[in-house]
Amino acid sequence: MSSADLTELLRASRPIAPAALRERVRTLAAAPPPASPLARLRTPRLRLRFVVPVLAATAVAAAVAVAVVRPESPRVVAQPGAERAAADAAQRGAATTKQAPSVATQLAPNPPPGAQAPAPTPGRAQDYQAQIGLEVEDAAALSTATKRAMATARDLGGYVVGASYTESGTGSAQLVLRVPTARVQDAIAQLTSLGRITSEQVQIQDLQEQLDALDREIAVLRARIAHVTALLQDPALASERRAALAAQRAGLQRRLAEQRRARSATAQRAAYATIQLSLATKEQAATPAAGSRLDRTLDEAGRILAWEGVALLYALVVVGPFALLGALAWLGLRLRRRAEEDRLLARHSGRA
Amino acid sequence: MTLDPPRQERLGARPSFAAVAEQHLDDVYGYLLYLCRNASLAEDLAGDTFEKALRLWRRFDPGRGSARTWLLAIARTVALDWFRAEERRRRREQTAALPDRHEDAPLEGFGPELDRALASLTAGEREVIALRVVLDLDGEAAARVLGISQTACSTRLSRALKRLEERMIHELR
Repeated sequence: MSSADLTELLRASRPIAPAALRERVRTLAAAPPPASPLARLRTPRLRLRFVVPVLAATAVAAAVAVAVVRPESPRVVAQPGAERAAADAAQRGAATTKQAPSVATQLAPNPPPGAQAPAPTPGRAQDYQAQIGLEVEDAAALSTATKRAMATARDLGGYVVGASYTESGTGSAQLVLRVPTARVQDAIAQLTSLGRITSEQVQIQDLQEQLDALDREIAVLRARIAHVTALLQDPALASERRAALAAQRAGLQRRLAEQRRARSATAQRAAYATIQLSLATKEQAATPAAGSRLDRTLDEAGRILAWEGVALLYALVVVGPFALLGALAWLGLRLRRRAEEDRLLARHSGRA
Repeated sequence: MTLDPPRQERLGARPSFAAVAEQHLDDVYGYLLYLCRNASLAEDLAGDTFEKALRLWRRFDPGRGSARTWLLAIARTVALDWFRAEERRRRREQTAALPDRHEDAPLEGFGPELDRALASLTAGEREVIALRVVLDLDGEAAARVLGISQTACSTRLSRALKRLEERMIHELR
């Protein structure tokens, strides 16, 4: 008997359902289907091929909507309150930093001169350091701005500590200027008017306590020297004692001279503020120019999407191991069930 | 104008349960008869299959497969449940004896040689023959009913037919 004969034989002997069964099924099918009490609560079946695109579209739509609705990042400027806080911190002796982010500074024109930098506290010795980044139009503007910056420092009673200028089509210049601390705000106002601000940072460190401590120490040393000098004027003083007192006075005078030098250096530090000015032409500027509103909205949407991606990745990293364990458990159960079914079917060879 | 169930399914319309039951009753019964090789049991299991199918009818999705495949998958689950229950009963009784209510007479419609040859196969071998040869399901549908891959289904069918052929040659001698 060939395979074809066997197939033919099998098909010819295809079983037909008995009439009783047919009648039973017809009766069953004629009855209304039983209503499930949970039918109303049943949620529609979610299909992965629909869920994934819908979730992706929702994420993109949300990012665009947030980017459109969200107000543009305000420019970070020193508020009066913040300025007072900075001054207070400076008075307490703490280092204060004020930084205007480069992106934010590009979104708005420069504020009125002198409005951004915190002022040194009058009557207190302070170490004032500022770093300013400016963008100018081209190489010619760079040259002019560099010259004007150096002139500004001199005009205000300061001087140029160092200057570096590079130009070949595009260009940049770095200047280190020292101006009297009392006129630092004028200096910053004039310097920031030379171009578009790309970055700005101010650090103020209080030196007054240090200066006061030096003054006290100098006063003490002077008093001790005067006392030793008075002792030395006694004619009845023994020669060894005189020699010892003379040596002590010499030591005190040396220490007094050191403290005077230290005070002078500290006072000099407080007298002049240091301004590091970086100038660059547009092509050289580190930060890109601000685009249109549409560009910024798209950028913002891109950033939000990137954050959504990060959040998704984080969720995957956290949930991933559990999902993997679950999948493995499900696979194991499925394999076990299939093996058990195969055993069952292999065992039932004859009539059940 | 009413459409026949297969055409309705092709068009994406949901057929009525009565129409589907009428259409595929012989398929379900035939499959179960091959699987358990007992007419009265196959009849019982077919009835149970349609009862279960009616309960689950709301969940049937014509887009995911034909009603015939869906019914045969339910029939297989019902039969396996019965086999499991039977195994437990046998273990409880500590006997390997076959159930009393199932007679050992040749099945109606089968020749004695084919009947004996089929009896020598396992239920797993008989079910793949029933699905692929007798009911003429395609490889994908049969594999879906059996819960295995198409390749595994083809391999299982090839082995089962080879064994049946050998047994038939032996029976005809």
